[in-house]
Amino acid sequence: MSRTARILAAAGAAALLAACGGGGSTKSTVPQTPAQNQAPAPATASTSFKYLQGVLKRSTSTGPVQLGTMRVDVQMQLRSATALQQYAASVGDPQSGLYRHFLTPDEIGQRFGASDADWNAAIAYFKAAGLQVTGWKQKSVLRVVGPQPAMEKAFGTTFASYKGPGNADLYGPATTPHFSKPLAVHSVTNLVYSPSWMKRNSIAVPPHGAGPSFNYGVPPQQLAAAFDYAGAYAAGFTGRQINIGVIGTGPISPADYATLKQIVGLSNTNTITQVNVGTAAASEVGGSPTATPPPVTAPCSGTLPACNPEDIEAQIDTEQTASLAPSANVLFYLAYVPQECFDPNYPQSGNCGPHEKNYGPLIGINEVNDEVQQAINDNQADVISISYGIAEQYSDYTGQDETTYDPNGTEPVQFAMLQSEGIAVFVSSGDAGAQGCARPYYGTGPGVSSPDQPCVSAPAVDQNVTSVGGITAPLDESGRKIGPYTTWGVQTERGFGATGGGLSIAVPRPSWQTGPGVTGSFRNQPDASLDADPVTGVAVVYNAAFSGYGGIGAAGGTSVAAPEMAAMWALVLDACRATTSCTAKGSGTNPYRLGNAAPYFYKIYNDATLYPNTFLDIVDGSNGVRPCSVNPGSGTGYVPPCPNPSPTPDPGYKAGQGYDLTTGIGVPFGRHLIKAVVGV
Amino acid sequence: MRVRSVAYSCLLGVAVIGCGGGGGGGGSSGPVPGPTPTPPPTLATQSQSVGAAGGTVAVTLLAQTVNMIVPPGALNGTGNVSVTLYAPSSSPRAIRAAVRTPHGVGADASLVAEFTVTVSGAALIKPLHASVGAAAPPAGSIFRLAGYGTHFDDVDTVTYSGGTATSDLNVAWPRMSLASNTLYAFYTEPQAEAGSPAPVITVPSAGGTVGMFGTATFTASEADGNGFPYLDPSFTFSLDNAALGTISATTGVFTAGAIDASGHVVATDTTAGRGNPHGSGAVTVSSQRPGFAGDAFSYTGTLSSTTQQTNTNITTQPQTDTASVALSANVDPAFASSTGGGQNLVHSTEGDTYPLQTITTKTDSRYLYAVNGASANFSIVSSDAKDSNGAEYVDTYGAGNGLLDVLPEAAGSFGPNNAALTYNENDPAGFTRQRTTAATGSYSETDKDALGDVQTIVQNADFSGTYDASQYTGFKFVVAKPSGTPAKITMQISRNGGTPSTLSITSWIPAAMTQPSTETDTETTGASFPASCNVPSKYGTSGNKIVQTITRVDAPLGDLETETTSTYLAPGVGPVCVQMTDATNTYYDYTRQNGNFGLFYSNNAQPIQQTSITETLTLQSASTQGGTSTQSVRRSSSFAPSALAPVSLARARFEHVVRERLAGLRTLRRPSSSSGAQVR
Repeated sequence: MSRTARILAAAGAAALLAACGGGGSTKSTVPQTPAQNQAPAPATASTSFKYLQGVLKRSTSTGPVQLGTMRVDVQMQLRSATALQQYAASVGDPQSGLYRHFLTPDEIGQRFGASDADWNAAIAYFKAAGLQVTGWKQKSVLRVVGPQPAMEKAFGTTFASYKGPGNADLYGPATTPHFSKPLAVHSVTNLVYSPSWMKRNSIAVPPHGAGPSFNYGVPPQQLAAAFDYAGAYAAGFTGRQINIGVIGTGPISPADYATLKQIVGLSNTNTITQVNVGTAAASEVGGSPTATPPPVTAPCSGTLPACNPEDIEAQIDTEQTASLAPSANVLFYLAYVPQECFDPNYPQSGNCGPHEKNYGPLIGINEVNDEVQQAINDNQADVISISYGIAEQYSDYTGQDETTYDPNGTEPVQFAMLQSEGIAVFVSSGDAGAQGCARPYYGTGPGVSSPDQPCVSAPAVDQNVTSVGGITAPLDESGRKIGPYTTWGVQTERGFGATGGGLSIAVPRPSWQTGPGVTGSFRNQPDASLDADPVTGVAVVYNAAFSGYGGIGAAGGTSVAAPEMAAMWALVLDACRATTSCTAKGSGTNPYRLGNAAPYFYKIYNDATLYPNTFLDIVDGSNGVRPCSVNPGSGTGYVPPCPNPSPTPDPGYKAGQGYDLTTGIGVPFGRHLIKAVVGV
Repeated sequence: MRVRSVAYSCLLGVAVIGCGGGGGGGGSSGPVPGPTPTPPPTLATQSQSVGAAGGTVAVTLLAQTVNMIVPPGALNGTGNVSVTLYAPSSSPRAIRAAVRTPHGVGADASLVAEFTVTVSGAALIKPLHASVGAAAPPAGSIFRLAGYGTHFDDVDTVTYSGGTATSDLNVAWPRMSLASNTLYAFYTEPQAEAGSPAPVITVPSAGGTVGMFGTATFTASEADGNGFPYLDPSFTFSLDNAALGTISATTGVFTAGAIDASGHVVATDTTAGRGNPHGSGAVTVSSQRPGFAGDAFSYTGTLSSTTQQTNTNITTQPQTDTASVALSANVDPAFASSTGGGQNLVHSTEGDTYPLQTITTKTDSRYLYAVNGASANFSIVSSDAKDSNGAEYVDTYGAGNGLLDVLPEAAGSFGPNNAALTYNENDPAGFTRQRTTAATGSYSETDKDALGDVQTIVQNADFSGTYDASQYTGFKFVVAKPSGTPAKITMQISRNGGTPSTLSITSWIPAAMTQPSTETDTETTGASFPASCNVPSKYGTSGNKIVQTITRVDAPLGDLETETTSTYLAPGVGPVCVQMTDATNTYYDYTRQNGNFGLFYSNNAQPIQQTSITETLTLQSASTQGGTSTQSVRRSSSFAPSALAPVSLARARFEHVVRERLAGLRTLRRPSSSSGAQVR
């Protein structure tokens, strides 16, 4: 019998999950962390560091490039990345004495972050090169921003443009980058970058009024009814005193949520508060606070501050979380770069000038690490929703060689830190179906021998997040099923759309990910799913303040599912907060936090009684996709239009009984999830 | 006119004190010569033992003799019969001055003899005769015998013959004979005044109002005009209003009919020679319409829906969702219904508990209970069902529709209903739908979203129609009636007002159907309750069965639907089980749930989606007739139900579920960028 099975057997069929019962051995007031039990390996200062160099070997340089202002994230060597990962695992394990012994960002910095000497040395180095440096309490990442020449000086190289796999435009160092003196730096993110790689996991259609062909999607009330948020509301669990963080991918307008509420008749009084990254954290390194963003503008092309358009992904995320957790506060984290230029027509036009034409940064999406760092630093969000992704081969999980898991990579570290604070993170599994690496932009390479080989998206692949996939959920006006619930996949695909799912090639499968259908030794994703198909997409308002540009429209993608589930988890935390037996197992100022939700999901999954009373298993459909868009006119941007006849979709993965690589263990239902996790 | 005193007179041939002269004597005293004559006796008493064989007790006072004749069998054994005869003015009570009610002796009466009778030692079980020797009454006068008891007075007719006046014994006198201090008097009075009083027949009310199909036993009693009861009437019972129901002529057992009515139960004394006197008692039948205010019912059951996509893009497994159902209902005690029929209001609350969802629906249904000759039609008039998700359906049945039962129930067909119906749907998020359906099933529908945009759907009686979704998807579909051999449906599709394209679709509309909606309604008697109903044994195992089957075609939306409602009624209890099924084949999809097409359609008359919904409700307990009956046991009546109210609410509730399901496969709220139609 597995450990999980033993736990569940001991708990009994009707027993609560670990959040409120069982587990908890006697807590020490000062938990002994693995870091304290082990002598951390001393950081080794070096002039070299990891960066995404593998792809450059498969790319062709097209000459020097002018990038203007650049930004990179410098990941410091931690005292012990392994210890951090172990601690993160322990706080989520009911059998551990550290269960729910969450840390503050200061404690994280002191226990696991870079040493003060290493931290200060790196800051001094980059400042000496003429670069602006921002850091956070946890002493993990330095955000380094400055003009290209200063960046080239700091890294001892110049930058060139390349043609990469899938004919993607990218830039990277022309020669091997290095420091002029040894630093305890583990890796540097964004030295190699293509805007094609990172994508929002949303598919939006033009808003109502923008054309004759579109109308708005499923309003929050329908979703709430369909997936039993409504039952949680009826029980009084609405997300009270819970903060949901949304990692921003671009500007939002406060007018939009207000307009959504007005149109669909929501009476929610909760708020969406924007947190500007860097403003608070700059004092940690003595840098200048990031400037306050200018007002949001109508869709435009050009540079800040005159052009600062809304980002629909950010609107989806904030509106979904706020509307489905009607009492929760939404903290919208946005990294703002004054030098940013917006080009909605990328790559066809060049409104941002030659250096921005091909390389962005576009609409802030590659700033996301900074926003996560800010969330760790603030420790205010109880739940975080993330709706973007990149092929794991291009992420910090594999980094340098595109295949080897790197626990000290920026993303593995930052999500372990969030878990150590007890913050639950929900990440969209991607909209490229089984081709989570967003074919064709990865192509072939280490670990991916064929363009049709399945691959997965990061950071959904992380061990400390819940990977959220998507389904097609045809609903009636009351939120009842009017057609089969299926995997969001080829049968209703819009363009390149299907729920992301598959097997990591690098990230080990966490110990809690068990049960029938879970396979192999690497991370399986997604963990669970919610409505994502644009056909059954949700109502979202954007550009409401700009007549002729927006209104209410329908949006889909796993970007929709992730905030849906984050909102549901906020209801769970509300229930825990209101339940003494649940908070008694917690610690610190946020005893209601439960950490990553996924381990609870799998415990439910492995309980024959709880599972069918908490999750709906999705058994139909697949997440195979076509390598093109069948949606005429949508071939711009990421995916080219399909020829006629359209090619046969890749097989992808098929849904079936139990866990599968399309929808995970299925769809949670809010009120029942609360009962299963909190026991009330 | 009768007065309440008696004048004594000197009667011819009778020595009466105060009428002059001494002469005579008699009785037990002989003549006494001398100066001080012996006062005449004031009374004489004669007692003797009389057995069951009867006998005569004669007593003489002065020259007057009264005979008490004890007929054979008048006494239940041997007893003592004592008769006291009084001299004029010597009776123990002042008869002439007495004020008595309700009867008296006329002022023109002349006293002949006064006497009392006492029986001891045996019970008088038959009337006694009395006779007195007397001169013939004056011309124009007749003899009477008056009795003055403690509790009643009466006057018997007397036959005079041969110098003897003998009571007729046409009344029963047991109390006259036995009551202490009862005084009797033979007297004469003018014949014109003393006509034989008409018998009075009294029919007491048997509990007042009788409920529909309820029973009550009526009795009758007969007495003469002065209240002396007849012991030997032979009654026959009848009703003066056939609508009241039926009554046993011999036993007086009344069984109420099906409708409101008022009238009388008539009892007729058919004793020979009595002239068939009759009397009546009022009776009112109050139907329960069919349910008394305050009646309450409790049902449990299951609600199950199965949906399956069956097309080339995706064939799913049948997905079934089953809820346990608990339904409670009560007849509104405050709702003012009209007499003789009219409407009643039934409130119901149904909880559908799925493994992952609980939906509560509150339904108000109004039914009409209308007299139709000797029968009554039980029809649903309207229903207003609102679920916990905020969706509200208001159905109003048109003329010729809504008939649920005809009472009294009889095997065979009834109705049938037509399709006339209007419904208004109000959903959360501001969506409304209004449909007006004519008798044939043709309809016109207008849907409006929160922004005020509309789509319209029209179906004509010949299966042609229009689906205009211009404001939503830009599409407008014009459907022609099936034509040709084999039958084809021509559909013209235009977008954004452009030139329409034409599709020729293999007709899926059954050739046998001549209009979009047909219904059959039949009743079967002696039907066994199906095992699937699991009817509690206290309600028996068989009863009547009503089956209503509706076949609908929705030509513009592509639905072929069969809805069947089977209602099982236990004798004297009502509907103990209601089974409803709706099976719908869908041939068009405007929602892109089957692919990214403005219209996805079947071209081989095979459905692209199948949906079936079944609900079974079984009576568990009922409190009817305003709470006076628990219906906990099966009543003996062989008639049909006493409370049909649950039929109306069950039907209304089910309609809510079905309409919601079937509303799904249209385009509202669905995004679109489709390239047009696609065949399966």
